Amino acid sequence: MKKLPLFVIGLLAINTSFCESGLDNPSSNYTIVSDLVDKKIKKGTFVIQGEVRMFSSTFPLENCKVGSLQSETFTMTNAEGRFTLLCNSAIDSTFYIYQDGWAEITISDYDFKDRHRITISAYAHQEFNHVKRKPVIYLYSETELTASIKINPMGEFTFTYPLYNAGWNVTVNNSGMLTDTKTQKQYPYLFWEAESSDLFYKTVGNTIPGFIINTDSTIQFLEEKLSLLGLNSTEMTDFITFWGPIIEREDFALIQFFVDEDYNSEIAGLEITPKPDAIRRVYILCSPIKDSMVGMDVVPQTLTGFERKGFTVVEWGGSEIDLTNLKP
Amino acid sequence: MKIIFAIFLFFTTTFVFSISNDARILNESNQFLSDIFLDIDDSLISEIHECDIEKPKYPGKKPWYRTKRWYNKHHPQKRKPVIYLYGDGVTEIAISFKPKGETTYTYPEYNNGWRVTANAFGNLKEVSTGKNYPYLFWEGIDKNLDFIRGENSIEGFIINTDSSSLFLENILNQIGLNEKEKTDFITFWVPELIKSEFAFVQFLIDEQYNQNISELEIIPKPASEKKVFMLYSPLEKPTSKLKIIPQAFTFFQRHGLIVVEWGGAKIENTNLNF
Repeated sequence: MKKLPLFVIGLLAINTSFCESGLDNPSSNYTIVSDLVDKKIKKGTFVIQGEVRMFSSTFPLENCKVGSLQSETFTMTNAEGRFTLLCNSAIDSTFYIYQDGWAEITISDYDFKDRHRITISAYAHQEFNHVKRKPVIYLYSETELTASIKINPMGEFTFTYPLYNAGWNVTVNNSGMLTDTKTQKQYPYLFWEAESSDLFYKTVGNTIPGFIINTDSTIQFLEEKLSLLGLNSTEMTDFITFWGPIIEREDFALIQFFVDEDYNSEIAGLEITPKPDAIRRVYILCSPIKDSMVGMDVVPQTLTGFERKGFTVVEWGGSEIDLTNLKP
Repeated sequence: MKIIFAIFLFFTTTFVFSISNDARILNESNQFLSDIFLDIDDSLISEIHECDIEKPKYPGKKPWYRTKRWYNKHHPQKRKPVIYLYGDGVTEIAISFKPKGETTYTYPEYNNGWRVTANAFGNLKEVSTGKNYPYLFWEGIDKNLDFIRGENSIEGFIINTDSSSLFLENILNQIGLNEKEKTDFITFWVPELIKSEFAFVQFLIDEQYNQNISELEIIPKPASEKKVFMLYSPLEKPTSKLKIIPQAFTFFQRHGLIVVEWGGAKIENTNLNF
């Protein structure tokens, strides 16, 4: 297992300090894992220890400052994201976990007892927003029907087309075009974009299910995976002509797909009436990278097909996750 | 004294941006400066910037400005020209294009040309592979790409980007693009346009497209052809020192073998003084 060399350089703060933190509930950013008496700890002191990870993943956050607001004592997390801090029982009661570019985590409202060893797991969240780019929704039906489509994106809409007015209502038929029931205008697909913070690769244990590709083979790679996922030639071309140039910016790229359930939970909920007979949602996370290592083991992601039948809905979108900014 | 410090700070921040390998655009660094020094005169910042932005030569080891990333950022990218063809579904069509500047990406693969059949709905079938495509795609960069302008005037529009969708629908309707072409155009460009509050937009049509962007050679010769390229610059204010002359468009009639091509580019380092 290679260790993760990712950490945010201090300069990143300058790039991102204009963005507001999108965090609503700071209390969910850490958990007290254990709180035990330790006789080895001297009277008048206690110890906090633990680890800081990126998001809800297993990516450790290195060089993160962990300190007390009262005594100004602090320590930095190591390459595994771990820290240990000896504290003064008389004064230390509020702690912060902070790194430039990441939203500060404050630990208070906890009774830190003398001669205790308190273990904390903290999850850091990036302060800047990721744009969810170009999700497009295609609807197909051999028999004409009127569908109502509602989306619940994580984050805020930045652009929709046609205009999303608490939902879209369109007529779907075999012409390949959708007709907006209100304006009677025609569209080949429905489009939305949104931005939110905290979009990141999913990890399983200490691995990332996904792919690292040599970008010379981007087109073959995407054609292969997207056919496997069941996209048709129009959907595939729209996808490849949008993402191909982005992926090919560097020699290598890290790629992970959020399919169906992952799309629902990480990107946006989708509610369609009547209920589609077949639905496929494909979201790509990609990072152009200069070499083929990302500091974690990448294990090939298993992708499965889907069968088109009756009222079929296909959606695709993606986000670029800038790992170059995270690298030292 | 404050001015000297501001200058120093400006160069420092510029350098910082450069080594973070992420050239930030002008207004962000301005924003950064004015965040720190609320009493800095704005005109001073833009003056400093204007003399600096063209070719930044920063101290330090990394010649980052020679990287592909810098190059792409500082040379106008001709983004997403897509070519639609509508034919009889049988006749083989040979398409080749000659872009100004370099080609960076094509789809499907371009082997000295594309050979396809096109049906009336615009579905293309590549002759060699039998694969289907909705359009042909290429991208390129051209360091000489810029707005077409007169001595004291320029043709185009200053838009409030809140109304980008309506604006583009209106223009593309006047030109005669169909629903599919329009939607592809709008969903690609509006997310770019709305990154700034205002924008200057100029369209290069047909002959201007041939001269400035790319020439198409199609056999057999199409009966009707329309090419639309959008150049734009983000603006902070909806004003210009040049006289803006609204462009007029002619509607194109579709018949026989039809070819439609559109693309666009952001012009960042324009010499125009808006």
